Amino acid sequence: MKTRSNRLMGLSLTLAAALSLVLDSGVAGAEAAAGMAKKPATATATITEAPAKAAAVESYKIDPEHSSVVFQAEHVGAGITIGGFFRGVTGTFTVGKKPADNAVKVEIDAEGVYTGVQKRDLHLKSPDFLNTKQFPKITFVSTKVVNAGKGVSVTGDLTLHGVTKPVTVRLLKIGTAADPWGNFRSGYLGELMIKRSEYGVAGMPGGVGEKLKLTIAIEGIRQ
Amino acid sequence: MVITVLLWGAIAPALLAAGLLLFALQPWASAAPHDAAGAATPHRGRWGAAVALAAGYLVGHWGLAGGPLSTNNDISQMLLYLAAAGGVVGALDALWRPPLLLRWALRLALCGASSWLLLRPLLAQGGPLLQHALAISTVAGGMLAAWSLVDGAAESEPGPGLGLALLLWVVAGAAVLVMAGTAAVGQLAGALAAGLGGLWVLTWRWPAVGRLASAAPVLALVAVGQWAVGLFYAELPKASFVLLVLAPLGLVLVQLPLLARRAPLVRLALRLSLVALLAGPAVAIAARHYFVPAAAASGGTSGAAGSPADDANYGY
Repeated sequence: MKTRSNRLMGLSLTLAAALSLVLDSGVAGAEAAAGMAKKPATATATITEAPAKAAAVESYKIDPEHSSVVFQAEHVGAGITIGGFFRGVTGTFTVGKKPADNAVKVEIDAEGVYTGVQKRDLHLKSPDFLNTKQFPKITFVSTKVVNAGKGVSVTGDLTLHGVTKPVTVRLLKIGTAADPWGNFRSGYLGELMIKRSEYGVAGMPGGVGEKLKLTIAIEGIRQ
Repeated sequence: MVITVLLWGAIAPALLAAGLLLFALQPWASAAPHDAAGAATPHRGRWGAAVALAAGYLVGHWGLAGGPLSTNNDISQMLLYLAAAGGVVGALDALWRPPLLLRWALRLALCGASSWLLLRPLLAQGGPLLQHALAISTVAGGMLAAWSLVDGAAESEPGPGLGLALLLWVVAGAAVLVMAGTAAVGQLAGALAAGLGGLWVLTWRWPAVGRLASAAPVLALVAVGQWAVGLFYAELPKASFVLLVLAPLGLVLVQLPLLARRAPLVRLALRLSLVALLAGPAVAIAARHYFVPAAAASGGTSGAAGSPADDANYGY
């Protein structure tokens, strides 16, 4: 009786294990089909070890889904009520030990401007402001990067509305982390104040403030 | 800001245009030869309208949007050159009436070059060649049509009525531009209207200055150029553009034998009505486009076209 009971238990365990394997492979297949397949354990180990094995110069590709440029301006001098952000922030940055190895290149899709008000978005895209049909891209290309405390001070050429001017922005390093999909990420945050008329963005001088505060949040994926 | 817009967008263009036209025609001078109807002898000072309107527009544009050396890189700055070219060509055309073939070749070349200048940034961004050719042809064709219609009407029937009809046409264009989401170009259209208004006011006092034919190239290149900027760089509806370009048809339709025999006041009313018949719907279409949100018109749910909330992956 005891032997029969043991056999039944053994069979049950075998079936359970087989079922578990089948279900597990099914989930993995579904995840793979959705483009979210888990990396093997060895890959995770590699990620954890990655910082130690980092190359002398690390190249990052800016993740547009986790990067943004937020802007703020005064409205009729009464408050900071005009605000929005740009979607479609792309580009690259490199981080090295030598100052010459550090570089940033950011490209912003001007059509991606969003303030939450459709008419205002259309107006911002019009020739009154960004003129996105004529100037579809806003770019920043660094010319000099120096370490500054917990971040870097980046000097470069900002091209907005077809006008290129040198600017300096201090980027604070937020941190580095491995994501669950096997990518190694590094993020920076910075603020920049520009005068829009210097870039020929001169629409509604009495309604929209002259100074634009830009908050730049970029997250890069190491290549 | 309002004072600046009024000064540069209305007062300065009107005064300068009127002053220059008076200087060119000197209608008060007893020595000035006039025909029985009081109109100036052909060719005397007829270049004035072109120079006056171009100068009036240039000073308005300069004051509102900056000159050629300003930081303003917008394509609308090309309108400065178009106005200058229109003024020179209009004046030359009045001083030395070239043979018909040469005149048309010059018009075609100037309209084609102006269209290319205005659409150059879009061509540089790539895209189908056929689409670019169609766009350039549309704008150039619009300029050529407006030029010919205004010139034809001004040559055959000058006078205060023509100026008023032209003013109605240009003001309608300015209204369409403002509703196309570009107040800046709308203000430039306002400067053109102000310059034209300055000329028109003079036509009431001195009918001799009513000959505005030489101003046709300035009107055609600048007005149609402004609408082209609205069409290709802002939200000006295509239908509004076409209707505005064709609106001067009303100026020449009153020359049909059936209408040509009517009393002057009736003909003026007809002329204004015919221009309004095409310019009015252009304004109405632009107004509908402006006041009815696109998302609501297309049955959207977010009420904000292009909203990140419409993107299924937004935030992830």
